[in-house]
Amino acid sequence: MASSTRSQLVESDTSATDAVAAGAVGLSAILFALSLAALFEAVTIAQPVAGVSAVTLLGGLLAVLGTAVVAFGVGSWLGYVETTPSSSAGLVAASVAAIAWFTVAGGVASQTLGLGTAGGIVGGLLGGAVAFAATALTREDLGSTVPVGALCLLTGLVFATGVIGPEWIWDLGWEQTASLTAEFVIPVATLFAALFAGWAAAKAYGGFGARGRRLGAYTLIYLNAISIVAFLFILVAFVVVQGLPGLFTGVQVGAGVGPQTTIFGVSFTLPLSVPFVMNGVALLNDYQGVLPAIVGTIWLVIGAVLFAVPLGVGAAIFLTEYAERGRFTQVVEIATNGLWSTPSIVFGLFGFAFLVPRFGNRKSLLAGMLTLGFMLLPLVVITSREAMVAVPDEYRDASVALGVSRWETIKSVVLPAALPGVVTGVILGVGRIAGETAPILLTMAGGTFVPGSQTVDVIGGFEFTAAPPFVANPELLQATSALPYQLFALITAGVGLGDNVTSPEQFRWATALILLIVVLSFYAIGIATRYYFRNKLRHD
Amino acid sequence: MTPVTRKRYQESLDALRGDVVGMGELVLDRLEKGLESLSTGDEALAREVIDGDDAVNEIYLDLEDRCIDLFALQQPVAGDLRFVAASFKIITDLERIADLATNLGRYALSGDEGLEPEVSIGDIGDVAIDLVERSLRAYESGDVDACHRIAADDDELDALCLRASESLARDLIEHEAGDLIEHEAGGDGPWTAERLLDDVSTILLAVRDLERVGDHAVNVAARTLYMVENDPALLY
Amino acid sequence: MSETQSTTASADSTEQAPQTTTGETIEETRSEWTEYGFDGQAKLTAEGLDVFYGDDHAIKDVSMEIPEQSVTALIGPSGCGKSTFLRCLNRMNDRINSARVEGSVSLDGAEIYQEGVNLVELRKRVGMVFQSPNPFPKSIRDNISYGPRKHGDIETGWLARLLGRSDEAVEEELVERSLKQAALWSEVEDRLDDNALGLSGGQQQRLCIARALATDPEVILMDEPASALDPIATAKIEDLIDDLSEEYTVVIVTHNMQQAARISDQTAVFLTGGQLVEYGNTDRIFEDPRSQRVEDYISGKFG
Repeated sequence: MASSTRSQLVESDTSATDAVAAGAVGLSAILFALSLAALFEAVTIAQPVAGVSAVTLLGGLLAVLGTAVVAFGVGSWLGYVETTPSSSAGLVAASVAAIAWFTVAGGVASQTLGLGTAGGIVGGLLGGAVAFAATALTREDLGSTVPVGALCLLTGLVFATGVIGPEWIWDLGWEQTASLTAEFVIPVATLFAALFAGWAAAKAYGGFGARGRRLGAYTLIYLNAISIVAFLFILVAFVVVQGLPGLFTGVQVGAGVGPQTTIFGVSFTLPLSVPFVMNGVALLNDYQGVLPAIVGTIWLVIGAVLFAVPLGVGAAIFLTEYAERGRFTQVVEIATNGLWSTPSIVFGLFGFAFLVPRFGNRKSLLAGMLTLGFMLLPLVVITSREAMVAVPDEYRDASVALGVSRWETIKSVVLPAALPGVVTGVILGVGRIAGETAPILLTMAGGTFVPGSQTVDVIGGFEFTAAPPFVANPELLQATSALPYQLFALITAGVGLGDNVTSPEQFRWATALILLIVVLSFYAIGIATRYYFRNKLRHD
Repeated sequence: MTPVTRKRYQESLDALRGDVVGMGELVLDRLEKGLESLSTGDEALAREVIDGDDAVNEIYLDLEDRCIDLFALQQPVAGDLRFVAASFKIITDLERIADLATNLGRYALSGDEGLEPEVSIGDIGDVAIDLVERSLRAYESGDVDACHRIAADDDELDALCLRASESLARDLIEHEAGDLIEHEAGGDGPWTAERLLDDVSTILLAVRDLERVGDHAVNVAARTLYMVENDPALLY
Repeated sequence: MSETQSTTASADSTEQAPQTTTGETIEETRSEWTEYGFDGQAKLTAEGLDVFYGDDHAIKDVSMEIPEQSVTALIGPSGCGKSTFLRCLNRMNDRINSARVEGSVSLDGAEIYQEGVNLVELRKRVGMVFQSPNPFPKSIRDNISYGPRKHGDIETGWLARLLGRSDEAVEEELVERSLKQAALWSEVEDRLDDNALGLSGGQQQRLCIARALATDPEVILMDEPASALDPIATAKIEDLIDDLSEEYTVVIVTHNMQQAARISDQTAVFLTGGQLVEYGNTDRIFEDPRSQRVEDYISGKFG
């Protein structure tokens, strides 16, 4: 009978030690959040919090955390706490501890002790090696807590006692006078210290051993996931907060306030006026807006999607259903992947050199659409292919056994089943291309700040001609503006807005915000479409 | 409760039950005719009974085949298994009863001139036939109490047969052979004595055969009891 | 277990009896074991069929006739070619690139492995039900009318409706008829627009059978149709097969011998190496098989 480690089957109630360990994990999470906040300057490190400067607070908390972790480890080793540690903390933990101590020891050696770069490296290696040995060679409860906890404690003391304060700066002495400021170092150091200490505390909470490592992994994963989400959220919130004032300048609500619109032959005045969205840039405007750019972006995306999706899906159908796996399909795969990784400026150059001369030798909306369409094409091919390969062969077998031809099978069984995947690809692609500036710059952008009257009107631009192809749309050949280009122009050129714009800074942020909103709207449409198709395939 | 699935299998089982009962009724008919031919001396009837044995044997073989088919192809279990196994054995008993009925016909052909033991052959035969009929009904309807009663009543039949044999033997001993020979209308001495012995042994054999009929009826009842209740009490 | 050399017209009669690696003699298959005489028409006939998957000789020289309107079961251990043989009957093996078929298969006397065979028509007449139920992710109604729609027998597009030629009534009737034939109608009649994937496994399989019936086939091939189902669902499928055999020719591959015994009229036994060893009436095969290998297989004494 093979012996396996036996832990308790029924976990007993939380004891005091469990509470302490849990508290340590919670503290590390708080520190993690605080350091993120400090990094993004939501909390300045110098400002006082509860009567104590933020740095001191951080330092104090770090010290407490470090002590708790070390205490737990030592207590477990001495037998005061019941744990099930393995014989060693493992190579991963050892490497982490080694790298952390290498950085700290190296920095201390080269700066504080004034030993210079060489001394820094030697000191770092020394510190790293000691940490590695301490972690790997001792029993797990000591190895995974003491080196990391000691680091945390040390960092905390350093911050709390002001050895590294808000004015601290480290000139790296490299050519471009790069330097590490306290505003960067303190939050980052806190971040990592909290992360490692949290990891150790979670392992301690789990009583070390397999269970402890599992809890440690969970904690790391959660903290990282939270930070990713927080990062995204902060980014979006940042843009929104900065852009809203500009977006809503001159907003008026009331009857007869807005522009005239005609829908289905009925014309009426909108009761809402948002100048930023409804106006162009003109001398006579009360408030300036970016309507032409918005419309330009929307048409660009629509055109690109209309061009890329049929071609891409068609190519994917050929590759999946008709072509045999061989040289040819491999080459196509490589080419597609390569195209998808190509920088957008290359596509812009292609458009400039190839498309622009063919469309009246000037920049045009059509050239922009096609260029962005080419950019979207590889992603559509890749995702459509994957979606179709994921459709189980059973459906194809069943259809063939019913005497249905291959094309009909693809049309009625494979494509509908693959549709959600295709839509996902389009959503992802749209997100990329809607924000691309370089291709627009080279193939489409006309005047930067145009009056509202020059908004491109594609729908109204269709007209019949006597000669083939009998339908023409001169609007497509207009050089128009688009939001990313607008933003670029605003940031670099800055002017051209005239005196009507009170705050160019606000205008920029508002442009960025509206671009975000447009892209998110496309996302919403895409997600709704995918939801619809997915529900058709499901049974609930 | 009629099961919803395995329709063809269910139909096969029902058909088997019906056909076994059908075979039993045919056998009963043979038995009645055999007894009648013996009691009345009707030779034509006797011949009919004797010739009809082949038909019964064919049915027996066919039913046996069907039981084997059911075992091999339908894998019956539990109650169905006991039913098919019991039916398999019962048709053997029924076939033996038919053979015994044929014997009665043969006895009828060999002639009997009105020897009257204490109990008439006809009465004994009626009791036996009644047992067979009741056992058949018990099989058809799965009546457990009837099975027990049949077993009990067979003891009475056995007693009846014993008395009949004994009384015939007593008759032989008590009445002088001479009286009996005189009773035979005319004839030479030695020849009529032979004939007398023939008649007596015929009747004795008939009585014994009828007792065996009763035993086979009890077997049918015993197998039925086993089929319904998995109770081997009557299977000795 | 050695058999004496047969003196009848056996192709290998001049060779030594084949030996296993341990030196035991394998019983030689006699050709008369696979000859099955029956009254009535043969619906499908295979002659000298050989199938190769690359270098693997999956089916060796199989000849058999399948009677019409009855149930023929193909049994044998895994990997002995019964599914391969089944898939030859509607040319589903064409979908496998490495498969090569030699020999002849004819449906109602017409050879199906020749140039110019209309595969669509073939598969309309010879339907197939697979091991795992595989209904399309569409509604129940659309699943059943899928085949006839694609064959052009039913048109319900908006154009047809515009022209007044919509076959909606025909479609409804077809759906109802097929579901009734598959003994599923009473369970789904009020939810024909629900997605087929919401049905239980047994119901999905019966739906697949109804879907195959909707194209009005003459033959139904079933590749272990009940192996993914629980006993009650299996029993329902078996009853269904019994009913279907009155009108259609059913060929069923099964690894469950008792199932073959229960439902089939004739049974063909394939043993290792893609050989058809014996073919005859089901009750004879299960009560008195001629081949010792078949007897051992059936009684569970492999080896």
